[in-house]
Amino acid sequence: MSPLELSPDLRSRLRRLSIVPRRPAALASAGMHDSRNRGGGLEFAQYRAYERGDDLRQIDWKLYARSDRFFVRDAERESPVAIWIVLDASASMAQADLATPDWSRFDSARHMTASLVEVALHQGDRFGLIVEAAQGPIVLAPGSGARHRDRLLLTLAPLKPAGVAQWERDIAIFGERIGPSDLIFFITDGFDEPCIAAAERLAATGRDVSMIQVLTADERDFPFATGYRFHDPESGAALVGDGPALRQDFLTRFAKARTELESRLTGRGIRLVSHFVDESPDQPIRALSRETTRP
Amino acid sequence: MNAALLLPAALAALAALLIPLVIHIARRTESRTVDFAALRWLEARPKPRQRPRIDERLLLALRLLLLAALALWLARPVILGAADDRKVVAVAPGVSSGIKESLAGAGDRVVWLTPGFPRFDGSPPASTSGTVSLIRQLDAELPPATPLTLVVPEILEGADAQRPILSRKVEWVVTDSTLAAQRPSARPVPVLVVRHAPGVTDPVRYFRAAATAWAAPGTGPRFQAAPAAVPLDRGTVALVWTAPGALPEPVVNWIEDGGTALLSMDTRLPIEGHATVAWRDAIGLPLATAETAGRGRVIRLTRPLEPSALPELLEADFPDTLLGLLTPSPAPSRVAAAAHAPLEGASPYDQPPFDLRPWLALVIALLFGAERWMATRSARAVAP
Repeated sequence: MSPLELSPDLRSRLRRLSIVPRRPAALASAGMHDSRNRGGGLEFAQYRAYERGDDLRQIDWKLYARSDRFFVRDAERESPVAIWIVLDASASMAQADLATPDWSRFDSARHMTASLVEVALHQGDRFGLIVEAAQGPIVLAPGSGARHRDRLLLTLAPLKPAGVAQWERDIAIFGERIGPSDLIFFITDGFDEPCIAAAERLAATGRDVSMIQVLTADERDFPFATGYRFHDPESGAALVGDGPALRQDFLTRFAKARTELESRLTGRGIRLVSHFVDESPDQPIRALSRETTRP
Repeated sequence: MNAALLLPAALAALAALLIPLVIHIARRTESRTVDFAALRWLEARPKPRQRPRIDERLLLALRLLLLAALALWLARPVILGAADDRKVVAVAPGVSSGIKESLAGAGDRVVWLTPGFPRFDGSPPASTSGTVSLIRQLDAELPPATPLTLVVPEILEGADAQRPILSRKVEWVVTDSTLAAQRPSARPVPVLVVRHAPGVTDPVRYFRAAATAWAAPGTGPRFQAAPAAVPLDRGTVALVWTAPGALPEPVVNWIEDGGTALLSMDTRLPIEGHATVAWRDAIGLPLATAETAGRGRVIRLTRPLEPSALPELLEADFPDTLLGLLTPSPAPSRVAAAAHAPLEGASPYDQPPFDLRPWLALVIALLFGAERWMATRSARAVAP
């Protein structure tokens, strides 16, 4: 299965989801967030028949002269909010499960990206992409529409995670490109401290940052039954050990690390959702939207 | 019934059990490499656990079982006292076959009292004469607790000098014989061959007279006399050698091949056996000794062959005595069965233990097949 293809079932579930900023007050001056409401923008969207209550100034009189009917020019109002997806493409993202060696963490992250884009496209928001790769960030400026979605997926398709991402080097670019009221979704494994630090710096400037931590099922279950040589693709460190002997200790420490990360990020105003590669990508999106719609 | 090992030292082969254990444990030091980004939460050196982990426990168990069975096979396992203890009814040939129904129960073992003790069925085997010897053999081959019934005809052939003494009390059933009683046939008279020193023919006449006396009325004597240098005819049975000096090599060979020779006092024979007195005079002095040489017999006279030293040469019963010396009559072997019932009192015989090795070999073959099947099936992951 290609990570960029969304199944019809997933698509229908995504259609019911929405991405909303945590701080609706920030949008109050900009009116409604939903970009589907057509109004007095610059970009032409469509003609529609005149209804009672429409502003007479919106009637296209030239068209009336040609067709003897009232039509209203609808314009797409540009959304004030852009959704940024920051995708981690470091070597650790290439890790795959023992059971499913052809579905890596990066595949799952791209699947998640495509799902987020689908939601953003559906609700008419602009969406942009930053791929944080070792050789430098790939930045795709926010845009909307299906063509922009295709452009984004085309950028994602040939990517291969490799090397160590330089978050400190690229955090300045993030700050330049990402608007102050934009939503930022980090899709990463969350194992790199610079990545966390970058998210925290973005959050400190008032941006709405969420982090989707993509974890493999092996990290959740630790199903290593025999001896293995565990190898960290980024640091190059290795550890030889017996799976069952390591399991309990690892699970305890890993759960503790995740709890610490969550409390740390929550303290900085960053929402953290964990996503396992064998789960459906609509669950973290739903978790994020539920959190915002609760109060 | 209990099991035993005839060669317990072979259990040292159990040390071979270590081989599959080593094979199955040693493999786990090889480990695959996996990418694992969450390495920093793996404890670098977990408390050293020495508990050995074993791959493919079922295969290992099969291999251990196979080796243990092999070691057990080498140790020669037996079961003592596992012999058949059903009642045995042994029927001597010559007994009417209807006797079986009256004596044998359902679970009894009925055998013929013939060599090999074949199972009793309708056809009686050829009658043999060693019945009493077979009774002793059957008693020795049966476990002490097995009841034994012997069914014999009225007249037993093949009895020897002693009533059989068995290790158990047997039921001795004497029935009518279906075989006609054999009449003893007349003993055949051998051709008497005399070899004498050249020119010394005096003793020959006594033997010619004896041979003449043996001959049936109206027939000539079966007698042949010649100097010592004349070789013996093929088929010679009885020889009288009167020449002095050493017995020539061909004659010695002939004796050892089964001939019977009467040697004069001054004949020397390189063979010396255990001699018994075979002929005594009226007052009990030995006149001739008999000894066996190879398969033959040698009779040595203790006196010269002349009537002055051996007046018995002139007695009327000399031909009979000579015939008795040269062809001794067989021992009486026919006895009334009723008077020859076995006695009890011999110490019981140890029974050979039941050997388990053929069955163990079958188990080993099955285990080996199962092990090969498990070790070579395609679903296996690794190949230790």
